[in-house]
Amino acid sequence: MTARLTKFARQRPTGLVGIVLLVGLVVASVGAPLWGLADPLESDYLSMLSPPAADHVLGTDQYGRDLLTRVIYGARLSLGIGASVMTLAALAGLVLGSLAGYFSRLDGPIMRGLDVLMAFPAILLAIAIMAILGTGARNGVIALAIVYTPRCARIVRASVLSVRQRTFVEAGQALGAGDARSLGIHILPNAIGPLVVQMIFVFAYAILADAGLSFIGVGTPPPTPSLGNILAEARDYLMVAPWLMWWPGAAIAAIVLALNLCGDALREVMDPRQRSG
Amino acid sequence: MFRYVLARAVQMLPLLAVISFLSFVLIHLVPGDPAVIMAGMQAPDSVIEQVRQEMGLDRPFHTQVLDWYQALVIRGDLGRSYFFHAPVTQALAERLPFTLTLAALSMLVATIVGVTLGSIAASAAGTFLDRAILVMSLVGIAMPGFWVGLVMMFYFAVDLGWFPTGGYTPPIEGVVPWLRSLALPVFSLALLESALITRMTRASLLDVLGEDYIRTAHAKGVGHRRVLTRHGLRNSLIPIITIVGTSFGNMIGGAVIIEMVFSLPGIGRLVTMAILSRDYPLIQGTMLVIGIIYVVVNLIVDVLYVAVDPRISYA
Repeated sequence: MTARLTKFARQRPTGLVGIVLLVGLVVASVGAPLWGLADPLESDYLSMLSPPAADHVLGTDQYGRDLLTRVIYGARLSLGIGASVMTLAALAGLVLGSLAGYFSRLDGPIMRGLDVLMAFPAILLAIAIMAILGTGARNGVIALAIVYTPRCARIVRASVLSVRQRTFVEAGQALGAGDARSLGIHILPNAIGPLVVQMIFVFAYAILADAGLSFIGVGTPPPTPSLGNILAEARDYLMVAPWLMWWPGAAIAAIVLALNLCGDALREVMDPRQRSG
Repeated sequence: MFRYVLARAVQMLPLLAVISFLSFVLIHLVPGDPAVIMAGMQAPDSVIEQVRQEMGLDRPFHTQVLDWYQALVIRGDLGRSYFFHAPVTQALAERLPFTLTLAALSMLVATIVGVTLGSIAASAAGTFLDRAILVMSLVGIAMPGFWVGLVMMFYFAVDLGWFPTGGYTPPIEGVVPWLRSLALPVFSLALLESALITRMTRASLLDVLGEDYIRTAHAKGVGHRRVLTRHGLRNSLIPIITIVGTSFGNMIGGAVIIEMVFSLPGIGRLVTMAILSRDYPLIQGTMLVIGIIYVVVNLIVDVLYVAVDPRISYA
């Protein structure tokens, strides 16, 4: 195990950077309540819009709330939203993609339906779905999960289609395996790899998209801190409190960078033919 | 060629039909009574009834479908926006051209930057320059464009005063002020796609540069630059065109957010207002028009494949 890890670290230093960065960010933000931080919603009207100083390391916003606390809680929410979108989209994609790939009668209807969803730009489709469901963080998760389901489904379908041709599947069927056993036990475990890689990228896309949605005011509503709505408030106070804009954006960039590095490394490990850089 | 374009255009029709139908049913998918939601919960019954009649929601479903298509196809009518008190087509005609200009300019910048950096990285593969470009593209993909826009606004507009802090100057008032008002938004919007195109160009070009005919070209004495552009880049265009094509849709989506950063008069504010004020006709119209634009751009990409690569047949 240790030998394999050192080999991984030597061969893919960027992947290691990604994993370390991701673990660090997840621990720092998920464990937020344990760090003895200020309350992200607690206002302190005596120190409004104060620049970074000893008592507020990153400064305070227009209500005197501690920016460091709000960024950490915002990152926590972003990671939660990203993870939920990833899970929902992957599950829906797994079901739809394996049905489409295995039952050729269902292939046409399912894939054409998903094509329609892909006929709109991702952000606008999410906005349209939120127009139906209403704004807010929970509906944002549902909207983004619907947006990213077609990508996951396509990947599962392609992979199921190719595994279905393999001899061991045929052998299983010859021995009397039914559709459920053939698909669930023989095909899916061998077809799920590309989906796992895609899931990491969906996680990253979802965090970026959610930040954008909550920046324009249709995602998580204030006062709950999200990285997007902190940036929206930072925009209004750009002239007087420029320190507000740095860290929320840097946090988004760090999370997405870490995820992308992990995704790239995982893709290379799973498919040595697709090596890049 | 013409027949190919025509055939592809005909293939688009079912997709357009579905997109227009989805735009229509959007209002029926809303949980609850759309007339009540649009009029407001506290609205008196008479107002709700009036909204219901204006929207045609009191009529049978099939009549509503027919009315929607009749208004759309024959009169090009998308209904009235409740927020702007104007026809939806008018609201879109005022704001969509701006968003499309922003998206198109950003796509142009992203393509030029991406193809150039990608080619440099591929021809210097393995060197420090290549690594530097790769790291830049990784960071470019990770940073949210609207945040980069905010940071640039602070330094280049607020601090240095090189660009306006927001707002739009139409080209009639001078080309330089026009470009100055667009420079920061275009750069913020182009960042992500530049990085993606850089990575795609590098990967695609590296594949091609490993081919036998590249060695042959070098062997017969063709100059390095010419091998790179004529033999290399020309043959690696297909994946690049694909990513440029899909980037246009992302640009329109990204533009919605960038417009909010720089207070620009595009569909960004329109769509956000429409959602927050539950202006369904406006949302329906916007989705329909964007969907159509997206489908047409995909058609153009398909046609470009054939124009660029004679090996792909017209059939």
